[in-house]
Amino acid sequence: MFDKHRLDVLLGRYFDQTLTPQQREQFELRLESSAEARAAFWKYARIHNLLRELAQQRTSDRFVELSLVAQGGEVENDSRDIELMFQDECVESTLLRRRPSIYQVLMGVAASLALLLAAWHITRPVAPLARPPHTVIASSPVEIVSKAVAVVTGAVGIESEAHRHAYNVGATLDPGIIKLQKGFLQIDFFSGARVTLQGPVELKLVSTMEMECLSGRLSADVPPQARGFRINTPRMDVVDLGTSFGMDVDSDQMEVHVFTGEVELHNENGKVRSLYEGQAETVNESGRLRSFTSVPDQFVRSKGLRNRLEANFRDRHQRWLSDGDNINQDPSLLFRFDMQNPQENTLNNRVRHTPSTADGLIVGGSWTTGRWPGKSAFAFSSISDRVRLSVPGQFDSVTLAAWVRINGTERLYSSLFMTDDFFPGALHWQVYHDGRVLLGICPPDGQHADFYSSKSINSGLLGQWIHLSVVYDSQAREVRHYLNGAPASRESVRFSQPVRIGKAELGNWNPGSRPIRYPMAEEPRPIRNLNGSMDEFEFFTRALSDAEIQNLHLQGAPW
Amino acid sequence: MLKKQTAAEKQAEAAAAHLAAVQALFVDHLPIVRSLVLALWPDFDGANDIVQETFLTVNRRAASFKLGTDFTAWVASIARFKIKEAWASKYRSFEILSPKIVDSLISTMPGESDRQLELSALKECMERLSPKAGAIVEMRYEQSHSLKEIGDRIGWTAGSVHVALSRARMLLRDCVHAKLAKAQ
Repeated sequence: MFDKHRLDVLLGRYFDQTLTPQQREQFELRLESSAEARAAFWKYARIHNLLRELAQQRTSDRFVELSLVAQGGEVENDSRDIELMFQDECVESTLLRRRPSIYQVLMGVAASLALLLAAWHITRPVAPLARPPHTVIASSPVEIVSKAVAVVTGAVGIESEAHRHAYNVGATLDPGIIKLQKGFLQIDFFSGARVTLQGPVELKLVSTMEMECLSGRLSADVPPQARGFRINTPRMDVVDLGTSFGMDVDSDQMEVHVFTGEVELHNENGKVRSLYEGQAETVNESGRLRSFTSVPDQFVRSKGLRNRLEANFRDRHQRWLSDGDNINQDPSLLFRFDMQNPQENTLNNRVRHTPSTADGLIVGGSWTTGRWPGKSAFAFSSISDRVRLSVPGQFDSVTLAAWVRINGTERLYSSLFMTDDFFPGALHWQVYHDGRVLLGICPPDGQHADFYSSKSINSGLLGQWIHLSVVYDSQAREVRHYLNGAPASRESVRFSQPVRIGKAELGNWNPGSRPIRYPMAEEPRPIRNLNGSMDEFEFFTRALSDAEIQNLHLQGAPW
Repeated sequence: MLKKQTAAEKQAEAAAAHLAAVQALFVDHLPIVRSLVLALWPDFDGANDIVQETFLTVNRRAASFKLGTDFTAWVASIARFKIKEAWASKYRSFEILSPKIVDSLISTMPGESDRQLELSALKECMERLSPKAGAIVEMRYEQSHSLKEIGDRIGWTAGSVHVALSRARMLLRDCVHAKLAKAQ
């Protein structure tokens, strides 16, 4: 019997992609056996489609409004962001609907929407209403949101129960508890206030202008832009009036030392006292105050921490250089770009035992600071930035590894390492726009098999140096992804196919020589440039083990 | 003096005109292609990829399409192939219908409808949603948030978000249906 209610439940789950395998089986059975169920499917699907279409129209309406406000002069319709443009078809058609006269002028008598597609090929200025050059708008743009109120700008010798990468330099911090057993952590609030913590310490971030110190020692530098920055403690609140000061909180008492400027002490009865440069006060359990002269040396301040950080960085950099000499000797290593000693057009391959592999050729891009001060990295930012490689031979298994700092994943796919062509054995190592890392392999049938990591490069990892690696292991018949040395997925491969690379690129994709998919020279190609920097890249012609990947990560970790 | 066109040039010109005509047909049929793909692959990003792949194949195989024949059937068969291709790859992260059911559904897909009429009926019906339900629909369909992301924002579980979305869709389905029936 046709159970409409049950079918509605299954339809809802299907369109929200939450069907369990059992429910899917039930759903299919109903669809297969009942014409009424199939009609109900299409009726439900119509609402799913219409909701999406209406949403996209609204989005595009907003885009039109914005573009009309934002654009004054001549704007190029650039064919280069074709991959995303196609998804924006509704944006374009809304533009046309809203401005028929311009459209007619633009497109002439043919007046066919087909010219919209043809317009992809046009690189000359075509219309004042076209998108700004290189502006990337997803089909339904999602505002990226973050609760972060501060960022880690320095860390030395941290011991904490938090996630091991939670306090890496560059990590953003959401409101919540920070608890350090040991070490020094420098936090820059988005308001401009800088706080240096000395473990053991426990505090709570509240907002960009407020925190609570539950216990431990800290110093704060508050510039005029962050005047009013507040630190609450169990005994008293401290409101900074543009100054630097230190604070020591324990279960019996708290001390405030003013180094420069002025702070206000607010007690629980609402009374306010001011404390000036060179002054310090203690508040004990009974709330009694004792005044004395401040002792700045008692606190590690931002400058002191910087000295420690620099010493730590120098040490890490030196250790990585000496470990690198050993890695370079690995007979299975085909490429290693350590990004040391930057050159204008060449990325030096440190592997010299394999004469057939050459250096990388730089096209566009620029050099930037790498994991440590004085260490360089290669920055990809424009859609033309890339490093060209030529990789001869074929390999049963491979391992790719890279230190990267990804600024954003706006593209549908952002390239890490991609072969130009996609013939059997070709590899496409990319970051999907949702932050998952993807290894695409072309199997013997010429189709594609995609292997996604289970962990994502989420917004907390953007802007940080992270270690990515992927292993294609033909013996174990699996693909393994790793993020910062830890396994991030392990999936089995159903086919047997040696890896073949040929021409390839770091940080971009040149699909120009793909005769099947892009038969015409003028046909637009997808844009997949990486928005970020690369500080090291290795290509091994064997499957590295979990332990070896972990070791590779530890040897290159910047902290 | 004007240069006389060679046979090869004429042929190339005819091929270009044919390709432009096929592309125009594709754009005309885009709503139906999108509807078909999004129904059979309800994930927005995945559906976009498939529509894009369909266009690339239409472009590549344009020469094999005879103008004047059934373009809907031709493009639907390409989209169907692309769905199957995506199904076979490891791309999917959710349970998708098997190829047999996809075929069965495609054969019963309703014909073209008055899109503008449907959209204006939907707009009116959406005003009947509660503010919370409206916000959830917007987060899902306009901002493409997952059920979990929506739940995190409003302090609900993903399951509760799914229930609210399902109810909203059913209400809208019945409301749009009633309005269109009245309009006819």
